[in-house]
Amino acid sequence: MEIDEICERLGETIVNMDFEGAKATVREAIEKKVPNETIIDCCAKGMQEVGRRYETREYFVPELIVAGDVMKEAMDVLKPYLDASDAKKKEKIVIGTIKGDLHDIGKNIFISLMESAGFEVFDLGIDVTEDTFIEKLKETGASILGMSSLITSTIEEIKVVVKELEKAGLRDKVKVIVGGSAVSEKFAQEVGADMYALDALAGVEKCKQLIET
Amino acid sequence: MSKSPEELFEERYGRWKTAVEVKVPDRVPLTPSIYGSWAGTYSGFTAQEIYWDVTKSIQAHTKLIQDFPEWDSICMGVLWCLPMFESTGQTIYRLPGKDLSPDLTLQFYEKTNMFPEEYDEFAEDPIKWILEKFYPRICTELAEPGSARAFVGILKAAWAFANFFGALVPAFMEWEQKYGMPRNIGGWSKCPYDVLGDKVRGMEIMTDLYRRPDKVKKACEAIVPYLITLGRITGGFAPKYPVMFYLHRGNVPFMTLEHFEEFYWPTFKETVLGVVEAGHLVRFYTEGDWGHNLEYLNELPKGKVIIHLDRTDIVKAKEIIGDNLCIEGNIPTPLLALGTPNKVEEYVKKICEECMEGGGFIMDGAGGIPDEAPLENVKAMNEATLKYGQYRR
Ligand code: B12
Repeated sequence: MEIDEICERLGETIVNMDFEGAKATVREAIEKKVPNETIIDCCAKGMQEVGRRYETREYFVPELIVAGDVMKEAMDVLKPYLDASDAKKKEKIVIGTIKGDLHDIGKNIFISLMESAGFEVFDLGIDVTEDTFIEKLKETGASILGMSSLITSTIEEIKVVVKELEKAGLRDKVKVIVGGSAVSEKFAQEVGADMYALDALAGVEKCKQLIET
Repeated sequence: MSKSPEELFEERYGRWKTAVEVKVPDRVPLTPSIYGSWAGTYSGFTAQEIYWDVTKSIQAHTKLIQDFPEWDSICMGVLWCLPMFESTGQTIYRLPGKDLSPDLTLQFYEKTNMFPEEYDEFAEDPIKWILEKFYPRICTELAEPGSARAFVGILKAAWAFANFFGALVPAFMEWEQKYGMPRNIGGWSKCPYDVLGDKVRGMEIMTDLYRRPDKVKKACEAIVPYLITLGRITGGFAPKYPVMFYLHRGNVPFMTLEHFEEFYWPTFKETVLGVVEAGHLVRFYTEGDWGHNLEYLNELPKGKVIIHLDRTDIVKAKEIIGDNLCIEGNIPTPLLALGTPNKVEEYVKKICEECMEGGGFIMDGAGGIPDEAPLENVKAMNEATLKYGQYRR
């Protein structure tokens, strides 16, 4: 009962972008012996609500970024109490903005929603070359590759990466999801990506479905 | 009998000015902006050539004036002096032929260039901060103010700029006097919040709205007088033409209306009014979707402001601000770049039908003419405007 109440409050602190409130509530939850996993889930639920509000235009980019920061700071409070048994085996995703493209606002939103949905994200940043993508996929053994693209002049780069995946023999081990305003469902099919998402929330849903099946 | 350049100038400028005053001209003015390198594409120059060599850029734009006499103004978007940039060793733009392939338009590379602790220093004396901290930080050649290297860097930059300006002024005069072709940009300035967002704090500005709101507000207030002066000085070279403001971060999805009202609008409005008071017209490029901010624009003086719309619903804009302010736009960028002439014509027809009534409407692309736009689509825009944009026959 009490746990539910704390949980709900914790989620709200994130939705309300309350830095101090979030940290205090995590401390309280630790004292009251709320399981670590539950604390993490509560924060994630808060972040998902933030994502929902973004898609319905109640929240804008600043709110998303700040709520993400609140979540990070709350997690920092919990970190010293985490041990190996808390680390669920997470699905891994490598993500980056393609070569020649420097836009990352949308990609970062997708990342923070993916993290709150329980994925382990390896963010390669912007202007990422095909070699860097392939190397990171090999190193982490990630099962999903996400690429973001906002400018049409470099969009062909997605094709190049998919070709390189084939050459590296990774194509059947890695699912490819693409997003960002330069790409479309049609383009995604043409270049042989597995999934396309119009917005970040839809992207998260598709990745979740993927691992459930 | 063909018209003299003076007559042509009067006709074109008069048509445009009438629309700006929200009155009815003989037809919808056609003022395609070129913010990127389409002039080069059209005239057979690479982006590298027209960005680095102002004489080639002038040649390219002169060719447009010769080939498109139906236009009511020419816009030379390539007003960047790359040799000057190069002399300072700037690091915030990627340049065609140097950091980018020769056929790509120059690109802005956003970074955070001010630490949060520096807000007070910035607000105290913005120019001092810009000269002593900002330029040394973003320009490798100016890294040590007062050094011989920095001195030479500034000298070279000034030399490059003098060459650039020296070539432009006669070209501008020729366009007016020989071809009767006006321009659609006189000077420029910026919105205070966008100065902080774009070049100074970068993305961090968005979290500053929550983490240090008072500092953001103070910093915005501190630069208003300088931005008014900037608009007045640059506009003073060609007072017939509007002072341009490119607006980036006040709209969906970058801030809520509450934030807009508190952080963006007050100091922006003050800046604009300061420029208008000196007798200038102003023109905004409202990047992205301004649908939810439109009402505020009605607080600006009637007939002094042109709103170039990007992805805002132009019919809605006509309804909300159309009685007060002239609207310009907005054939979608993807349509001009990738669509067919028929689709372009259809769109032009539609917005003429819905927006030209009562005047105060100018035809342009949503982002001007995109670099990739095929010639047929530009021709379709021209022809359709002449066809559907007539007020009297
Ligand atoms: C902000 C911005 C910038 C900022 C970028 C800051 C940053 N750190 O990202 C700056 C100023 C640096 C910039 C620079 C440039 N930009 Co810019 N920029 C924009 C702008 C205004 C907004 C983009 C944005 O962040 N939107 C908000 C986010 C949240 O939306 P989003 O990216 O679509 O992401 C959502 C979904 O798509 C999805 N998503 C995104 N990625 C992914 C990935 C996956 C895997 C998934 C599942 C989902 C997903 O999730 C998000 C949330 O739902 C757009 C115009 C516009 N209004 O869209 C132009 C725009 C993208 N830029 C453009 C251009 C041309 C440029 C420049 C070349 C301009 C120049 N000459 O300097 C440079 C290019 C630099 C480069 N090489 O990339 C053009 C692109 C045109 C085209 N189709 O090619 C646009 C469309 C502007 C225009 N109207 O012409 N830009």
